[in-house]
Amino acid sequence: MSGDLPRVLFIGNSHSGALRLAYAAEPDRWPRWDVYFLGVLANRLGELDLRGGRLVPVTDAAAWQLRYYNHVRNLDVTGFDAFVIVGGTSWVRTAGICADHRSLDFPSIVAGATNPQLVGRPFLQAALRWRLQASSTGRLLSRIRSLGKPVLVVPEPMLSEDGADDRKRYAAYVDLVGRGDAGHWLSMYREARERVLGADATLLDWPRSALVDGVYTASALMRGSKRLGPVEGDAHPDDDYEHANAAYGALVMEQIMRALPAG
Amino acid sequence: MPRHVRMAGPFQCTPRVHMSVAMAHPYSDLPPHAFWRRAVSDTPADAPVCIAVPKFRLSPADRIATAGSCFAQHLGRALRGAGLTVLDAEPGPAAIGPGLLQEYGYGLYSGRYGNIYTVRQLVQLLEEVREGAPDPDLVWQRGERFHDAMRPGLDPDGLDSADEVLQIRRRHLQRLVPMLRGADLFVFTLGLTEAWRCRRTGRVYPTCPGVIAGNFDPERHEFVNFRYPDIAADLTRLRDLLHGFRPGMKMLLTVSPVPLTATASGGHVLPATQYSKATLRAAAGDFADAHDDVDYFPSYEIVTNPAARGGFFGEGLRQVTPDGVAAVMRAFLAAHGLREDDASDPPALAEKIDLLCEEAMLEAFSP
Repeated sequence: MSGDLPRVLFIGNSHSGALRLAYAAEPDRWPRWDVYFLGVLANRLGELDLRGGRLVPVTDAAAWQLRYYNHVRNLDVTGFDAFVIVGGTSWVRTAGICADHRSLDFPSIVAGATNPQLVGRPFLQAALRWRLQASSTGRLLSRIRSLGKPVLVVPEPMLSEDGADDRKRYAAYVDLVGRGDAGHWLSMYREARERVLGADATLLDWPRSALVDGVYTASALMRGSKRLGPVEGDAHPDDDYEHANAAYGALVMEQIMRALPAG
Repeated sequence: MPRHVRMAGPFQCTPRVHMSVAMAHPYSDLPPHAFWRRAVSDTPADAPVCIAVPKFRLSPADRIATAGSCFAQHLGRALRGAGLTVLDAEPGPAAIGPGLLQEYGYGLYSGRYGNIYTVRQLVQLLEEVREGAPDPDLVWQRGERFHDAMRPGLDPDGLDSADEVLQIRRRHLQRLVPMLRGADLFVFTLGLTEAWRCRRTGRVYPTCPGVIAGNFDPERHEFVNFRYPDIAADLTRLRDLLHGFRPGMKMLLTVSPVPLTATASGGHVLPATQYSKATLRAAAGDFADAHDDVDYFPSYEIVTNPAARGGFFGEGLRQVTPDGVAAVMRAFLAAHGLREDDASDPPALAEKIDLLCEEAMLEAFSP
């Protein structure tokens, strides 16, 4: 740590592991900021509250994970100059919203799909906004915005292109892509994300070079991903199609460093 | 209040028909629940005994459809909570908050048709489902947005065009067909006798044009206060229509205890409410008496029971309190030998539940 550098705290779920690995491998590649990581799994991100300038867990599970993964009971965050929230907005999971509910402007409906429920676009927009507000990132952001520091929000990677064959687990998303609705839904998602989170944070998109057809992540950037761990986590199983590897983490680190204000 | 409810089966409540040797007149051998003092004055309002003896008992195998005025939303929840199979032709997306889903009409009834206040409105809906084509006149505008006149509160922000309203309504009607064909029992809560209708087509609306959307035009719209013969005829038509979808489908009728928000009858709202409820109560009761496959449940009577001393009505003396709702639902489930399911999702019977209720919007026009 250099005392004269601005300090940024990355707060993330399991997807922050890729960024941490990238940074650990090449810390000097991003010399403008002192970088710190705080990681917990899945929805525990939304179970961190800000009390008296400290991030504190509000559930037993979050308390355990804070200690296990980060070796702290709580964390004074008043000394940080910026924050990055990694993961917790779950784009891939939103595919379920429009699996059976679509408005007239969906390409599949224009093409004549007759099975889904027809609904107004405002309902789908409201559902997306609700999901983002209720997301762990939405909840965490609503707390740390009071610090008045810059906040960046980074999405989980898109599903690996390898996952396109796993309909059992990703039917809603694979169908979304297959019926030609993904681009339309993604633009609605971005609109909702901006409206819900945009006032309090800078929202980063997926690194364009990592995407395949705009809706999957290139498998080369996903294979070999590692779990979040107290030090360095174990490798994810081969059929994990949601977590990215350190190469993807480095792409995102570049994005973040470009987006952070000049120290 | 106890979460688990087990009461004696309905057969203990069945009047004994034999006469004792010492009997002097028909009242001398009646059960306690036949006497006002024992059954009402001396009985807690939240635990009426033998107030309903079902003609047919519900079982988890029964597939149930629900519709009605806003009070009926409670009934659907209670039935689900008791582990019964309540059909839903148009479920909302998973993992979306129940408040948002309710705001857009999901999970209230067995279809996303919104509140149905009059028997005529339900008859109209079923005829429309059978025909499969929405009436193009049933699109109301508010500003630049368009609403389905038969469920104007369902998309609070309205839709982009009249065509969109009609396309969505057409799909809605289509999805109701298999639900109706699969229902063993249709539970309908009668709410109002007063309505507004189109002079040309005779179609009634769930709300007066202009309140939520649309424009009121006395040349096109007229007030109607349905009388007993109208309601009786509509109930007959309703039963025929339901049997057209599924022969033998049973009906369960209740009357909402929720008073009118406002009356357009020209009179005082209190007698207008009593007229409305008395007429609906009489029509529903007589119709149930006349048909083996139709039953009546006294929701109205339980909430308005004098033993409650008005305590089942909340602030404003109109909305039913959670305790009132719980009393109704407990009596209903007990009469059918059912109980609230601990595993069911909240809200539990006694919790405060907000209802989606267009009629209540008339309160905004109160001077």
